[in-house]
Amino acid sequence: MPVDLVPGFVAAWERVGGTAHVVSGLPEARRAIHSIVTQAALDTAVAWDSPVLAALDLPALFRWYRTPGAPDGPESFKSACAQAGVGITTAALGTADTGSLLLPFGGTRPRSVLILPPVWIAVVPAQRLVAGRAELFAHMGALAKSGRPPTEMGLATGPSRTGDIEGILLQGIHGPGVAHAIIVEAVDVSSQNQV
Amino acid sequence: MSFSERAAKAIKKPNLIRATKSAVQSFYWNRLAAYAELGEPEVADLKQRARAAREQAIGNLDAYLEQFATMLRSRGAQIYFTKTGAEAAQKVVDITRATGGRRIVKSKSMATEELHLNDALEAAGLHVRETDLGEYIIQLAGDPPAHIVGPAIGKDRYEIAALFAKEEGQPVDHDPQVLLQFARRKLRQEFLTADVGITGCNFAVAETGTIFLVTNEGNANLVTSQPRIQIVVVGMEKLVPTFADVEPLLALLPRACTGQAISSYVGMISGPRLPEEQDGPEELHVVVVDNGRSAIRQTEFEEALLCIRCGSCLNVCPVYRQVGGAAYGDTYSGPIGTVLTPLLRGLDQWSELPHVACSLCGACHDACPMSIHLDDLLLKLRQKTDREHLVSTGERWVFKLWTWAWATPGRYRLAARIARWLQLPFSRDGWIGWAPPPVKGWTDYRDLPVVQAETFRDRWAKRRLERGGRNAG
Repeated sequence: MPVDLVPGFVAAWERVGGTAHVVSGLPEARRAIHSIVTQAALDTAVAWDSPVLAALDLPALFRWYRTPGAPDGPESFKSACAQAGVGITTAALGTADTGSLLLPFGGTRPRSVLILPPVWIAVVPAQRLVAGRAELFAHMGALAKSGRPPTEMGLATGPSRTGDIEGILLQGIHGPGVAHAIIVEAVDVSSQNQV
Repeated sequence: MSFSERAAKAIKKPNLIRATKSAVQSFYWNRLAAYAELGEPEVADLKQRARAAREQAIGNLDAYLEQFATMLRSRGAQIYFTKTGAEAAQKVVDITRATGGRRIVKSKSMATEELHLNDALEAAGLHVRETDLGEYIIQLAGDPPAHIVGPAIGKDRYEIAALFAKEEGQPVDHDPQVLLQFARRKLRQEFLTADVGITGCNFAVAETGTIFLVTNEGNANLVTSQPRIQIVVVGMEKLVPTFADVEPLLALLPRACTGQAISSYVGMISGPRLPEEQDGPEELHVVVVDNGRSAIRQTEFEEALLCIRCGSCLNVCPVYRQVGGAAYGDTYSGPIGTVLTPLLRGLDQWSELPHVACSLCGACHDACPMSIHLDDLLLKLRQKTDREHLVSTGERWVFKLWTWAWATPGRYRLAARIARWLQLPFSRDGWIGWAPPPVKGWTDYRDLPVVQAETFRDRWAKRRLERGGRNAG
């Protein structure tokens, strides 16, 4: 259990303007999400279709909650992403040195969930944290070299930001202006290796 | 207009120069802090590995381009190799038309700036919108990028508010948050209605056919996820041999750019969307651009192709800091622009840049994460200018005379004697405030100390006599 990686990730994530929550298990993760969305009065969400997220019973927290599995086609899922208050993803990997999360996009893991809603919440099992670049590139390289690599992988480190107005650091120019990482220390073993 | 004329115009805008200096100074200090955090040995190791990877790629570019294309084609992407800038721009226009595209969103790309792609798209009746905030601002202003990393660094909030107000047809407050929200709202509409997305490429991996895109704003993520068609414009020198080679490059690029340990978003694209995917492009087109790069390969200037467009050399350049990017007159500014512009656009048109836009201080070489010897390249360009007789006859004669006069001690003494005699009508209190050409170029901006009546050589000879020849020999 790489406990020492958690403080590293939290420090790096918060340094770039993200908010980190370290929780002991899935019920606590759900409570953390509940308190984030209640405080910010967010009642609509889009999310990846993932075992970790499915275990959280999130739909009950929102007025509407959409995952890509729904029957009504891609365009309508994209437009749900454009309207949703929150986008919820997991991550395949997180790095303690820079606070970066690896997002292998795919059929159940659309790109729009990360980038369209104004608030992004990533739920990351602590087991998926690694020290830094070396481990990250080993993992990404293996994915890129696999027979069927993700059509796009993304690294996301905190919120969307810009310094293009007089060098002033501003968050939320195109992607989410608010980025929450929920690090879950104990996750059911069966879901560990699935994004 | 010449560099000197553009520079003279720029320095009359104190706001522009102040904004430029303040921006590049913070880029500079941030880079030093980011390097310090890693520590010198690690930075040296990263630089060494990054340069080795880039050298390997540039040395075997044809093979790596072929491998890159084969990998991407195997996953359904279409690759095109183009020779000139005009050909590349036309290819993008053709792809857009063939796919029925009308509305285009772009993420930041220096290569597309180099091709004047937006002009070509607009001339074809297509709507194109830059989405990087800085690029959006300069697109509204109709300006070329002022800096490789911060294209709008010369503009303050008031100028930006005025541009936005013109776009909106009503006043826009100059508060940075208001400006940010304005841009977010306007550009979000563009993202959601565009049918074509155009990006550049930071690194192109031959081994895996992966396209790396690095941004802070997340605009590239929108460009690659929302439109139906994606077109990637990649300078042919962007290749790296293996996926692992990107590791040191990605560690250096954001640190050298802005001092960040990593940029907020890194995208790695390996093909168009699969049938089961909800978003991403249905078609992925990759346009590989030569535009003069092949002609640089296997010449004394090949090192310039190692550049990863971080902008570090601009931030340390005493000339860039004084005059800003617009003075350079083309896409790339600062030391790398001074080298690349003549190489890509032709030395006959651009020989002035390496001659006057550089003091040969060498700060650019020290700052470069690829350790490109920019100062050497500038000197070589000066030599080439001379070899190809591209300097004025007057200047060549002055330097011929200069070389002749400095070649032997006797001639040097003679030259000093002549100079003492020539300077008589212009000397005032040990200084020359005005002199006719070719010295005028100097005295227009600063005074020139006179050649002393008693030279060092005279004094040395006198001393030797006084000491009875003790130090002779």
